[in-house]
Amino acid sequence: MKKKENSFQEIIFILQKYWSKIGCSIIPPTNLPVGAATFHPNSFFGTIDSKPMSIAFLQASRRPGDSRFGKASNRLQHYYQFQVLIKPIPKNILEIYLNSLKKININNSIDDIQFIEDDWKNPTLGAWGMGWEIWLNGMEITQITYFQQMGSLDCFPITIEITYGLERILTHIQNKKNVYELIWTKNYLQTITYGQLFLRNEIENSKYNFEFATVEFLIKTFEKHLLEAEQMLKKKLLIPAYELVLYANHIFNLLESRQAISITERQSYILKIKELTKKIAKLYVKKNNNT
Amino acid sequence: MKKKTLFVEIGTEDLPAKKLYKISKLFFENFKTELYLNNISFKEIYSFATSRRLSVKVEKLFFRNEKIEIIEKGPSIFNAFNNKNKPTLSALSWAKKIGIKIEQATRLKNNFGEWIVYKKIKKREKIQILLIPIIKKIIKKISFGKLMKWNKINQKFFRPIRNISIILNKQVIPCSIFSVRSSRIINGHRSLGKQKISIKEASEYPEILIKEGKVIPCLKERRQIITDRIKTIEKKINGKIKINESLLQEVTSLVEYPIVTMGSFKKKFLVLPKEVIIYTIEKEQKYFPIFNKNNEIITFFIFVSNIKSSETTKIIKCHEKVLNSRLSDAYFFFKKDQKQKLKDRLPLLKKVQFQKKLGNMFDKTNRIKKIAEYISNKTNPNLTNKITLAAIICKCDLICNMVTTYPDLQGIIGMNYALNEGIEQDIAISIKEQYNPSFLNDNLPISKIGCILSISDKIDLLTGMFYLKKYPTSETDPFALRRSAIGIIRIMIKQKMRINLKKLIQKSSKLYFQKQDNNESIEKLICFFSKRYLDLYKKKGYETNIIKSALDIKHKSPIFIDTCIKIITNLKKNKDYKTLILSYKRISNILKQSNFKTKKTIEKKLFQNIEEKKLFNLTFELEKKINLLNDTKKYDEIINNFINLNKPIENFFKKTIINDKNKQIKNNRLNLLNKIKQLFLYISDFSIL
Repeated sequence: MKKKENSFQEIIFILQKYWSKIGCSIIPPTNLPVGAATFHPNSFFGTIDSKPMSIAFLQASRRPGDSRFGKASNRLQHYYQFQVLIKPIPKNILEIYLNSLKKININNSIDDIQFIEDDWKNPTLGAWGMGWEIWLNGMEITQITYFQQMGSLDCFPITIEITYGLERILTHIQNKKNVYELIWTKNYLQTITYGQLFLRNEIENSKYNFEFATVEFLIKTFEKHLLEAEQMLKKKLLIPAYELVLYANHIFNLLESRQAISITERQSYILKIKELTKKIAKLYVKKNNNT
Repeated sequence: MKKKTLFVEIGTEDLPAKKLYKISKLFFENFKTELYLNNISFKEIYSFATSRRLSVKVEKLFFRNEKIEIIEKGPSIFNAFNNKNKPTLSALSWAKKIGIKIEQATRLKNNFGEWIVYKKIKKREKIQILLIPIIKKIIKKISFGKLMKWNKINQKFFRPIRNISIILNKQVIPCSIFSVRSSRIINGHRSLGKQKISIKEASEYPEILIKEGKVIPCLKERRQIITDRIKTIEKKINGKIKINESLLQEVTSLVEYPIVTMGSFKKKFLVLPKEVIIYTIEKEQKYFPIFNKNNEIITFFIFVSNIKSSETTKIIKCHEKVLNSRLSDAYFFFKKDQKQKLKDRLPLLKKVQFQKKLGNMFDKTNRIKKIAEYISNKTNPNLTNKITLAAIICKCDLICNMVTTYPDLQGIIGMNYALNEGIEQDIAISIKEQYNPSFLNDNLPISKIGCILSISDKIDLLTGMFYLKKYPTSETDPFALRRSAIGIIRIMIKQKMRINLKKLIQKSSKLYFQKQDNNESIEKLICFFSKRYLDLYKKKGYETNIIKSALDIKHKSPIFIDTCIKIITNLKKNKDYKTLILSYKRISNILKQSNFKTKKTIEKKLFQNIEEKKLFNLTFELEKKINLLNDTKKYDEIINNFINLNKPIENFFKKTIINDKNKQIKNNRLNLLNKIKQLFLYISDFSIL
């Protein structure tokens, strides 16, 4: 039997190939800072849309609140998700998902895989859905969601979202305690670890996210982005408007990690962003119906 | 007719584990009800539920009576026969339509008229035909909480339905529900058993699923397996496990084949606050924590998996790794937090915004302190020093890393840190209790300091938000204003605090906006409180108009409103209640008509007859009782005093003419009536009763 490849990059290749065979288009990630792959413009607009969609992509995601200065074994402020979006949804979608795990050496006849109910919601996107966190021996490795609402609008037909948390999956496959020890690449020329690629990034950005980002600067930038988004909305430029909201959303996350917002104030930040994503979604549907 | 066995299974993607007990119960109960309503009896019925299926098996199914009488109703007698008593055209065509001769028709008469009818005896539809609509109806009826759609059909369920099996004896009942076609195939365990199992006969279930599918379909049985194993482990390691019922139900629902195993976490994490460890173990990981004889948490935990693996050690290691990593995250922050005392964090609250335009959390802390001192000066003056200290540190844990990471534990972390710093216990506890009640039927704070902090925190939120006009709507209440208002009312009643809400609101408002006129939002907030009162007491079963009559927030304290509502409710049960209301109305009308500006003083010497004197004495007595009311709970006496006024009032009106020629005598009588009216009003607005 061929020796099983299990480097980080190899696992990405396998997933891409697997979902491509299932029928997905492997599209590029968004180049903007996002907290999760769900924010990808194709996810947002594609889910609201009524047209069929089958896409998959690798997405770098940023969560300033998860900064740990490179010291925690599996918590990162910058990490990778592999995202699959399909509509209409195949009846055996969970089986298809479990088979994808087998391809990357996770076998549910040896490891315990449980589907933990999760009513996922993202208030800034005005989105919610129902599904599960998929736990592998107690560790969440995937999130599966049937989107019910996006941009505060009802979705129909329904899209399913499967989000693999690659770092967690890899620590399991490579049996490493620490994410920085993961092998990203291993070939005849070189061996590169996750730490070599990202440790410095984690340390410096943790300092930025937790200690040094200037709160006044962030508050100002947040408001300016929202204003600009409003302007673009008036000109019916939906993608620029949405992208500006993404920036604002990231800044909001930074404000949170700087502990600059109380729980009460948090609500009104969220409501502001939510209002905008709702307007964008509504206009998108309206435009679509007119053409 | 032969008795049959029925098996129905709705195969789903993994159902929400926290809801499975309820879903399964509804499925089962609805099933029984529908069978009953359709005249179907049975000997035994069994319920099954796992994460991936809801099933029912019914043994010895039969119809209670095989034949049914169906009444076909024709035109009314008036329309069915002409004046020569011959059947009309409409009667004849009705008979033709249902395939009888008109002579076969009989008559039916009731309160609404008389018709020609035909009584048909019909054999029942076959069970197999009845079953399809029954099952459709049952699925539709199990709905609560959030449901979802999963394809192009507009129907909803808890999770997607992927498989349906309905078998009567050996026969598959063909149908399509949620666009899934029924078959004799059911799913086995995802990894342990045969994936697809074909059921030849309904009676084979559940044995075939257990044997070939490696699924234990009965909830009760799985639960028993889990508790038995937990108890064995408990004994083995000589520990103590308080089985959390909702967690037990959840893990029972999560699996189809439970395996119970023990793992351990690193000892160094034991320095973490107990609540943090328990939260991580129970809430985040769905494991069972273990304690020693002294109720201290120990480094072992129990988890339930859904698989009998060849590599148990690996699975244990994995679970331990996850828990250790979660706890080490908490530990990292805990250590970081230790570097600074709560009190020293106070200035840092300046960088945390409370709400735009309402300042930061440091400002809020100062306001809370002043409100808390205001309340305690009125209710517990001896506690004021402690309350000041508690108020100063009550929000300081918000900038601790632990709370940023575990927002659910705000207050609890503060309490733990305060205890670690050696702060007095009741002050420490109040940091936790300020957030109670945090949901509708949540516990109220127990410590006095906690009660006062909680009220102060909530009233500050309410006044601020009302000033910003961020009122809750019928659908949303993002700042939990309703809950806060109800919380304040409940605490004040429970603690018997004699605080005037209006004054409290004014005080709180002044702390925000010293110079601004803020009357509009104060009025709105008072109105908001009134509505919460109505909701609260309506739910307790009190009558709306009684609550409204007693609801005078501007003049009464919450506890006194409570007393008044109870007095009137009891008063209403008295047989003389109606007379009393009439007496009140009569007095009220006379005063209105007289247009006389009443005075408080009543002169005894101006009384002319015995009725007047008697009425005066009784009034005086009632007033004394009412003034004592705040300190007693003797509602009955007061009620009697009110009722006892009935007769004297009646006699008074009989024997006394108010419009005496002597103006002084007349006015004195009006003053007496007004006095009585005011006593009524003190308790309630009798005009709306």
